[in-house]
Amino acid sequence: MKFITLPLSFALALLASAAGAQDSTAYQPKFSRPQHPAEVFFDSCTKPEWPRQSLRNKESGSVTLRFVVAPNGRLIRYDVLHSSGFPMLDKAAGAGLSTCRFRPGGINGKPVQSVAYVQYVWTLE
Amino acid sequence: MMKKHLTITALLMAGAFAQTAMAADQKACMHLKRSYPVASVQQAESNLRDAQNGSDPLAQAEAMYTLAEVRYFTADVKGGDELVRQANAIWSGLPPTVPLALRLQDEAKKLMQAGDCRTAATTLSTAVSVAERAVPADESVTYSILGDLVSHQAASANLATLKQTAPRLIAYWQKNGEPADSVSAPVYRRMVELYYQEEQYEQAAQLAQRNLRNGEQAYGTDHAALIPRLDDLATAYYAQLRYQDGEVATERAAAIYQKNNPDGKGRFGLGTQKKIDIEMRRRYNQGDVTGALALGEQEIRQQQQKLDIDVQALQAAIKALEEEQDAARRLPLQAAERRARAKLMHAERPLAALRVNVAEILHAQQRYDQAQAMYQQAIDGYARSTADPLEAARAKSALATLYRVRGNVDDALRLQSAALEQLLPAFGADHPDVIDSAHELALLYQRQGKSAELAALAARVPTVTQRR
Repeated sequence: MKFITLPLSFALALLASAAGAQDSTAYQPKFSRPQHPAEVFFDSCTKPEWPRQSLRNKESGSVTLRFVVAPNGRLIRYDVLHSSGFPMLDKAAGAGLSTCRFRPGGINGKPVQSVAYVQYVWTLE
Repeated sequence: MMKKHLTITALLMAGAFAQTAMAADQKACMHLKRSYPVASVQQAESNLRDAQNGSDPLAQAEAMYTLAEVRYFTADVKGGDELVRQANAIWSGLPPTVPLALRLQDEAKKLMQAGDCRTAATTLSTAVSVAERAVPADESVTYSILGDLVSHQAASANLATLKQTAPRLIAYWQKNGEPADSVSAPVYRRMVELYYQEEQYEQAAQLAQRNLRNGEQAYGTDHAALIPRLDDLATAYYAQLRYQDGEVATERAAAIYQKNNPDGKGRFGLGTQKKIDIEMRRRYNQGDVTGALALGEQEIRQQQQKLDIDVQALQAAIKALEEEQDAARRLPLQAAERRARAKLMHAERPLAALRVNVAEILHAQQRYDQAQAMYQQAIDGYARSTADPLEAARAKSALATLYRVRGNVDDALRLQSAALEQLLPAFGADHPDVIDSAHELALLYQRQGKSAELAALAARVPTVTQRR
């Protein structure tokens, strides 16, 4: 137990010493940092395949996906931010675009875990 | 009915997927719809019987192919496969000669033209096997056929089989000289993809570099054909955590894209808001804080004016809908109302983002009342928009910092805590925004003597204890 509490006490003491300094530190706007979000390299993957059943049902719509990208550019996961209203289309878009490769986001010249957004539109004409 | 896919991001140019089509597709089997076979089933079966009664095994194998073609067409895949297998067994059992290998290569080309991709691949594999065993051997024939097979596998993205064949061909190219770029490039790209998937990033980078060099020799140093090769190289570097090298490749690809698409929005869709962000950042970092603020405020005014028009349009759409009683006539009005609402929600996001930038400058200038109001407007705007809650979380974290500085600890704690709960799962414990948020929260816990919460926070974001 001591093994755990001693370092923690030390850490908390460090924080306490930092607290006073933080108040007097001028706020540094985050937008001023050199930065870019994660990006999708669309030339590294193929178009998502239209699910046959969705096609038969004439389902269409727009899905917005959020891809969480690791500092090494590998995809960690994707989330459906705004559904098309058709889970099969959402899933097909996510699965298809998950095969893409990514540019990791960067802040101050260093790669960071970041997010990339893609709006995928399935339309029938 | 036509399928149409569109991919849009704030940062994506039109037609991004057009680049996906690779040169290999022009050469390789296209999986065309087969025209109805000339021979009927009965005729093909009769021809095969005649061939089997004869003494020419090649004629027999060719008759088997014709019948296989007919069976495929009539959806008898198993029957077709069995005939192809038998035909290839015949060829494989014949004395291996270069002419036989070349004949099979021709047969495979015809099959590719007919769109029978699977049979073509089998035939090419047999042809390679025959060529390898041919006496006297002719290495150039072997590698010519292997080249067809590998190109075919590359175009059909058959990575498992490509892994077996391509390294040998690539080694041959390295020793004897590269073929035409249109032949080698698709193979290299697929192999980069394969190595990337298998996390063999060093090999991926080597092949991407080679493919890039070939492209430069074939097309010059600023041709659009280099873009996917630079992307391949960049992703291999990123994966090795060679971030700066990756950025050099990515930026070069972006510059080539821009040069080839001067009127476009840029490689990653450099939209208006992004341009304003960049210009505000440039001014701010050069010490022109007033200029950065003026630009942000001017843009806010302009975007607000546009937004006001969108609000009026929505109100008009709602009114029109309310006044219309006829169900049929309400349908297009409902669609118009949805479009107006979507447009308004879409416009809220960039305005909110701009407000955060301006609020941050005001915050840094210690103009706290103005900064607080601006942050709040931004957060409210995000709430009305389609933006990712993560964007609002960043604004909330900044506002919470402002609250803390102003001594409003309760609101600071509530807001910072909420922000961190959104930022941490998305960005991880090492992200600067997460560390900032966690550190702010740690300060608040420390002030309030909440040591248990502080310890729990330190467990989730270990760097808060290292920062001084």
